[in-house]
Amino acid sequence: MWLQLSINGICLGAVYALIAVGFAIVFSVLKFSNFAHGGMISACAFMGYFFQASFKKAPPIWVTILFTAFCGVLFALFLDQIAYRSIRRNKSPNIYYFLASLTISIIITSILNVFFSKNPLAYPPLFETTTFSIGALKISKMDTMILIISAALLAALLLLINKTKIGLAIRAVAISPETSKLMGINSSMILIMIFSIAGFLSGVSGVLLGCKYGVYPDLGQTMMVKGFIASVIGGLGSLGGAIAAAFLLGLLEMFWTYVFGSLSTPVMTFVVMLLFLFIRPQGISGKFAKEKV
Amino acid sequence: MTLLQIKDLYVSYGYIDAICGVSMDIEENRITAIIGSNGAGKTTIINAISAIVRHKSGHILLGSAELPSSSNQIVRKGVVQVPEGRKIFAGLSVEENLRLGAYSRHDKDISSSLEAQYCLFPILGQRRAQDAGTLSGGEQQMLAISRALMARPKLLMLDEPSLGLAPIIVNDVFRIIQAIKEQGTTVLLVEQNANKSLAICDYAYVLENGSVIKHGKGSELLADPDISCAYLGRRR
Ligand SMILES: Nc1ncnc2c1ncn2[C@@H]1O[C@H](COP(=O)(O)OP(=O)(O)OP(=O)(O)O)[C@@H](O)[C@H]1O
Ligand SMILES: [Mg+2]
Repeated sequence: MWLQLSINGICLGAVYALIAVGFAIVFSVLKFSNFAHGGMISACAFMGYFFQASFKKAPPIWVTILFTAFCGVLFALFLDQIAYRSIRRNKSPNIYYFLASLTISIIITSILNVFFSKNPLAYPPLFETTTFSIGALKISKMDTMILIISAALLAALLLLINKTKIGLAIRAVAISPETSKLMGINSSMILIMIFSIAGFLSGVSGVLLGCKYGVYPDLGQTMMVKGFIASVIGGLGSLGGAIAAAFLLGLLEMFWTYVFGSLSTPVMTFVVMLLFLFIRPQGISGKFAKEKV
Repeated sequence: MTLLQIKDLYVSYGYIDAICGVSMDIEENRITAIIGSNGAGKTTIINAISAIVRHKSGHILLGSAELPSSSNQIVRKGVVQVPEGRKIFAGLSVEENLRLGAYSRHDKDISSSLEAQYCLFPILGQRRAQDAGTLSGGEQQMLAISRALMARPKLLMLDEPSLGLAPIIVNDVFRIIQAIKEQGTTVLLVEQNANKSLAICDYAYVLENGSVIKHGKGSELLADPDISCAYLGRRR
């Protein structure tokens, strides 16, 4: 039973990790929590759903994921143009970013609520049977697919940030956009790239979440909270920390639900976040504190 | 030959005029110094060249062409600054800082440049994997200079490189600046330490309240009684 719960927890963690990393990467560079991510996830989930539904015979899931991720990038660039660009140009305080992103998320969700009901729309089933078993373990095929896709994406992202020249430039802009310009780095290009990466992640998350939970307007915001908590526990702005925290949160939720039931689970996750803020505000990674000094 | 020419430059912050009609010629393979007291506008001139601040009017010509309008492209033209206060990337390693200095380069020769820098600054070689934020002030200044050299600049601009350093380290810094010039890099040196900078520079401009009040060979200005009274702390 414990093993079964652990596997489920890890699969849940993979979903959270994808969302948490979307938060963390924007936070690391722009120093604000991009709440627009939730709205974007919902919007992308719908886009993926209608893309899938527009064919007589549903295309393979990876086509839908790629298409939606691409839409996510365009969507993110569009939001950057209409909402964030002027904030950047006027060098306004970060609280404006925060307010703009929160507003965007609410607007998107409200618009979706106008057109769609709260009843989840289901993606066409991907697999003929939902689970496969290894011995006594029952493993959901859907969860396995989500785990593999997230793991691959997270690994690619970590490689990009930590091992490439562009990644180094991203980390430099995260520390100081002004000094980065003196290195010959086009800081505004890097910011646009960060939003594109976040958009890509929201596209992938949207489809995966839609497959798992069904598509409804509040999907993104509901799930975003978990990703946000993970990015806080992980240490704001740290990708590695956010990923670790997301898996931790997934496991914790599974075990808690098994022992105490699902009603108190949300309370538990927020309590964990508060505990972290009191005891270790720099998060798992501790990077945040170092940057502040 | 003139490498960089500043013609009738005006810069203002809001209604405050920081630079009022400055003209300068920065000769190739020479050290040109700008001296002046606090708030004279020295940093503003360097930042105007780097396009960190926009100039209201006037021209900044590299060779015969106007410099591009964005900071990152100016670096690609070979005009690189070591900013006031060093501005190293704390949280990244010494080597990552140096690699960022070479960001504008497209050749594959970065690792041999790194080795060359570690030869010039052995302390950076010993600390290559260390968080640059934990270096001492003097070491950070060396790193800032070294990082700028990684870009293989045509014109290296140094903004108060001796600020806050112990006298013995200050001597090191001035020695390094001379060595950089001897290797064929043009240097624009901004300093409050007028004594030392006039001694090593070929030509100097004295800046006061955003205008050039005097200019001439370093040795001439050192001998000028007005200058020695105002900037060198000597009595008449
Ligand atoms: N960002 C800014 N906003 C408004 N005024 C500024 C700004 N930066 C500089 N100034 C003003 O412009 C003038 C010139 O400043 P600048 O930094 O160029 O002086 P400096 O010669 O480099 O002085 P120091 O030797 O103290 O570094 C000063 O009066 C300063 O108050
Ligand atoms: Mg200055």
